[in-house]
Amino acid sequence: MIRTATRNLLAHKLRLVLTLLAITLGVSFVVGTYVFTDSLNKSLAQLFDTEPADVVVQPVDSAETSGGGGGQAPALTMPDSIIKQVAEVNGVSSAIGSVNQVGAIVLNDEDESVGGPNSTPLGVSWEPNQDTSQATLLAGSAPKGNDQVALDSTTADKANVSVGDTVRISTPLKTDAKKEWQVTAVVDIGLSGGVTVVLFDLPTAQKYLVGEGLINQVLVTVSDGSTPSDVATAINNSLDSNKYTAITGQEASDQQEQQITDSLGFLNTFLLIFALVAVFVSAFLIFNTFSMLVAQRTREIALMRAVGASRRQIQSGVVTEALLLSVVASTLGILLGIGLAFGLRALFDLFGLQLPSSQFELAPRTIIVAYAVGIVVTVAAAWIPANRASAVPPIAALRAESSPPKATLTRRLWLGVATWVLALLFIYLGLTNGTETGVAWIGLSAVFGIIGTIALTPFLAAPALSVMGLPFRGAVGRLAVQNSKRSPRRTAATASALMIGVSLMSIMVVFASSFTATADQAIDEAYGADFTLGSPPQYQPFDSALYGQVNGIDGVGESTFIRATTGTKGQSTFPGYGIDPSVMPSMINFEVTEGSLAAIGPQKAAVDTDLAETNGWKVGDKANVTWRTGQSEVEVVALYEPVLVFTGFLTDFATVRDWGAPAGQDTAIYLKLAEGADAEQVRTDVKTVLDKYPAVGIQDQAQIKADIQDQINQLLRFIFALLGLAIIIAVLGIVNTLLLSVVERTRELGLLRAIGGLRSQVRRMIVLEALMLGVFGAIIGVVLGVIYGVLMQRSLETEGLTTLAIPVITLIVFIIAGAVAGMLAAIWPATTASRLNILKAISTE
Amino acid sequence: MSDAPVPQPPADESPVAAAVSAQGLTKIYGEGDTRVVALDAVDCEIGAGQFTAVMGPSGSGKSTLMHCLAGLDSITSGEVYIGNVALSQLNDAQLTRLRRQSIGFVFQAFNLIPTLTARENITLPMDIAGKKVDQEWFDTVVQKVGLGDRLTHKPTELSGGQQQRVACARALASRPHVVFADEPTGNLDSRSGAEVLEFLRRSVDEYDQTVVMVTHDPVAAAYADRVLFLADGLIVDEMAEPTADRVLQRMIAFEVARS
Ligand SMILES: Nc1ncnc2c1ncn2[C@@H]1O[C@H](COP(=O)(O)OP(=O)(O)OP(=O)(O)O)[C@@H](O)[C@H]1O
Ligand SMILES: [Mg+2]
Repeated sequence: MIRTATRNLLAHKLRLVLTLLAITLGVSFVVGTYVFTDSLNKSLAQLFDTEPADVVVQPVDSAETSGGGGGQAPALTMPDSIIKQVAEVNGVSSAIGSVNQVGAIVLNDEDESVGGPNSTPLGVSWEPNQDTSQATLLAGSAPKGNDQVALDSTTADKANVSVGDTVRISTPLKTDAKKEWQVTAVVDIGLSGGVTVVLFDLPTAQKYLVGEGLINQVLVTVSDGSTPSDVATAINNSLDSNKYTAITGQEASDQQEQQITDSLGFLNTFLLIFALVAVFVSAFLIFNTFSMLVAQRTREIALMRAVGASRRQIQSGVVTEALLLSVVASTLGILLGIGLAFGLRALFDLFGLQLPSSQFELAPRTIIVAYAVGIVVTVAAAWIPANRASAVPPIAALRAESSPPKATLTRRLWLGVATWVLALLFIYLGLTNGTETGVAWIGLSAVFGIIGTIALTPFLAAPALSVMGLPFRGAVGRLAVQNSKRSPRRTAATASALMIGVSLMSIMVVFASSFTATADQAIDEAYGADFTLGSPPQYQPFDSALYGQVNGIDGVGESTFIRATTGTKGQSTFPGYGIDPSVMPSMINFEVTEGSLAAIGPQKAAVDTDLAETNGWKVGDKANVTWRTGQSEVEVVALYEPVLVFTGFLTDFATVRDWGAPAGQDTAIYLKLAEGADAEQVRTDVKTVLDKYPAVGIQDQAQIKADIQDQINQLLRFIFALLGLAIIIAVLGIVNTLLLSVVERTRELGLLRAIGGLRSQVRRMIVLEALMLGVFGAIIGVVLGVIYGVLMQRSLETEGLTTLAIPVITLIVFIIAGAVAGMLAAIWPATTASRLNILKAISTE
Repeated sequence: MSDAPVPQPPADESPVAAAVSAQGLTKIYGEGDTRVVALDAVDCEIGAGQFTAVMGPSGSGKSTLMHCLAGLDSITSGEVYIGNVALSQLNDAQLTRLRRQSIGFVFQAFNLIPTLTARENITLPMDIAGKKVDQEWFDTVVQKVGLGDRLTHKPTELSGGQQQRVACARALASRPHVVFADEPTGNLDSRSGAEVLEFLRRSVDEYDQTVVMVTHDPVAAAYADRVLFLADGLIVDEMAEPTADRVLQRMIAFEVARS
């Protein structure tokens, strides 16, 4: 049987290549996604594998937001006298201070961060002990004193410097010095992007990063015979436990890893969904290819049955063939998938989303899933139709014109309708339930909606193609329409792969447009300032000396600044802002529903209405909130509607300092123009001041809108890049379908040429078929995407996504892109078809 | 689409003028060991308005001759003229247009596009040429082949004989200069075959159509005005006013001579 199977495979080379291609692509899609995700996670794990020290002592961060490694809240500080206290505890062999702060920006010639606008500029103190240091010395020697720094190797490359060269660095403190520093060392930090790291010796780090006499952590080495956990307990007993805490190095690295994993959690979820889409689309492609082949092979099978082969022989022949093929193709797919993973990584870099990428991980799970998808789907795809073919009497099969039995089509109709009924039920649940479960119901409904639509596309295909064919007059157009209608199932399956990608993209753009529109509207309604100064996108705080320098500028009227910290209550995390209640309302139009902003003061705050509702707070209540510095009882004096970035608590500056806002640092400055002032002149003057604060930028209303748009677009581009892969697979699916259909129609095409069809007409016919496939898939995708995009917006309306915006032009572009994709897919099949040798074609069996 | 200059064969002057002719037509397949001389410097003329049959043993080169005369296949040397047009002078697109406008085809099987109805199949050559269908002629042809009530059927809904008659109607519908038929009755029972042959015969008698037909069947050959006998790539004999008996005898004589 194996021999007949191999011979069978080799006998139809093109068919073989196409099937192989389908399985290989499908498998590679799955493998690429998994390898990429796994490598990312392993790199992260590796990164935090080394413990910073045996024991780490740090200020209590009750809100658990400290994240020197990329979080936006700056690490809390404590006086360095703690070092001495810790050193005296029993079991401590050595204790050194450590500084770890965001805001040391390595500048390029344009005074921008060499790491790009989205990287986190980290400044840390050099740790003398190489064994525990997370930075491995690659070249040079430790930086010493006020002029020397070390850089991580990626940053050094980007700044194009090596040991001995100088770089300009802007630091959070002493910002008036865009100072030149000498690079004395280059280190490896195990992270290839997303952060730039500058290392100073401890006194310099204190002076330029956190303030003299302050540190972020004490790193402790325990003496022989003591265990880290015992020493940590001993330190905790000797220090004020409300303010400081000691944890073991293991705990510290776990915490850090957890933080990073949390912040990348969305990415993992997204990639997992993407992997599921991958499995789905791949299975589709393979299944589709095989069901086409079997139509062709039905006659062959019937002939074999006619000459006496038993059903079992035929079935085992088909399965053996599918097994052989799928093992080879899956193996190729795994190799291709690994390449794809590297491609994805490059893609992420391209979009500035640099991820740790030191590791490469091909997990056994990936290989198992790859072979499972490849083999199971292929064998099932081969077996099911072959079984059907071998079940009918040979003569009927010989005569069969590859039309599927009516019964399965009816079943499919019912399946599609039933799935959609469920989808509609979930929509109902989604719209009637509260926001939180509502979105989940809508998401579930989308899955069912897409599957239901796939089941129903064969029934949509014929009418849709008739309508689409209307503009194509003439014999060629009519032939193309007829050909596409010939097998509604095949047309449907091919278009469906494209539909999945396009519908996901459409949901995304509807969502993104609504988001931008909502933000724009909020800015129009609530934003009263003429200029905002800050350092987007993470809004790291900056030296409050800046405020004094800009509010004196000629032409600046009212001005104010804000400071920020973070608090938690139960599951929710929210900001706490320090504002000046006499000026701030003219900058941001707060809609105060109860009480008055003027009433805020020491431990008295305004709370946003959502948060108040969740926690049952009313004006006059005492809210018990955990801030970064610990718990406090806050009196609620006003309620306001959340607006722009403002949610959570609004209080005065002294109170917010108390809650953990960094001293002497502002998060944003708001300016209004004085009567008759020239906006451009003011902007120029402010920019002159900002020259010394490279991290801070100035934005007017339009720029803030553009900024939001930019951020959304960046995210969209990234998502599109991933979904683009699904689209490419879908387009290759179209190529596959068309090529097979050209092979199937060899005689017909030959006949067409014999009776006078030009090569160009044959080519045009195939291109038109592909174009209709592409447009059909894209239109269904767009329709489905819009439906679910709108539903998503509706279910998030109470969550603040108040404005629905449907980006009509973008959606039309999707449909045009579908047409173009179809035509591109047609190039190869159309060329093959037009080059057919007429005589060979008409004499083909 | 059809406005590029297409060499038109001239109108025929006398009833026996050559509609198609070949001079030194040679067709060689393959090279070295696999070299086959399918046609060996064949000279022949197909009279206009005549029904010509081509006969010969299997492998003698009948189909090859027909394909070369119809511009479906390239030739190794020599020249083929459709009317006064030398085929070797034409590129692929010009050849295609010539086929479309001046040649009709009937093959042994698989003559029709399965997605099109009988009517659409008949008008297909004109449709792809973007030419208007001559409705009167169309009706005449359809009526002659007796398909009036089957025009909206798809090929799979027609019998083999009906399919071949649709193919004949298509070949004639564009009033081609010449119709080539390669064993058009090869797959049919004798009654259906007779209908098809009858029809070809009448198109010659009533409308002066030139027809060339390859066949194995002496009875079919008897419908022709003239029979060309092919053996090993050469025209070895011809016969005017054939009858089935005479053709059969001649064929047997060949077999004897060959063995
Ligand atoms: N594509 C080809 N490649 C090589 N040899 C060929 C090819 N086509 C035909 N031949 C050879 O050319 C010769 C003539 O073939 P042709 O098909 O013209 O014969 P025929 O008279 O039509 O036979 P039949 O009555 O069986 O149809 C044969 O020997 C055949 O083997
Ligand atoms: Mg032949």
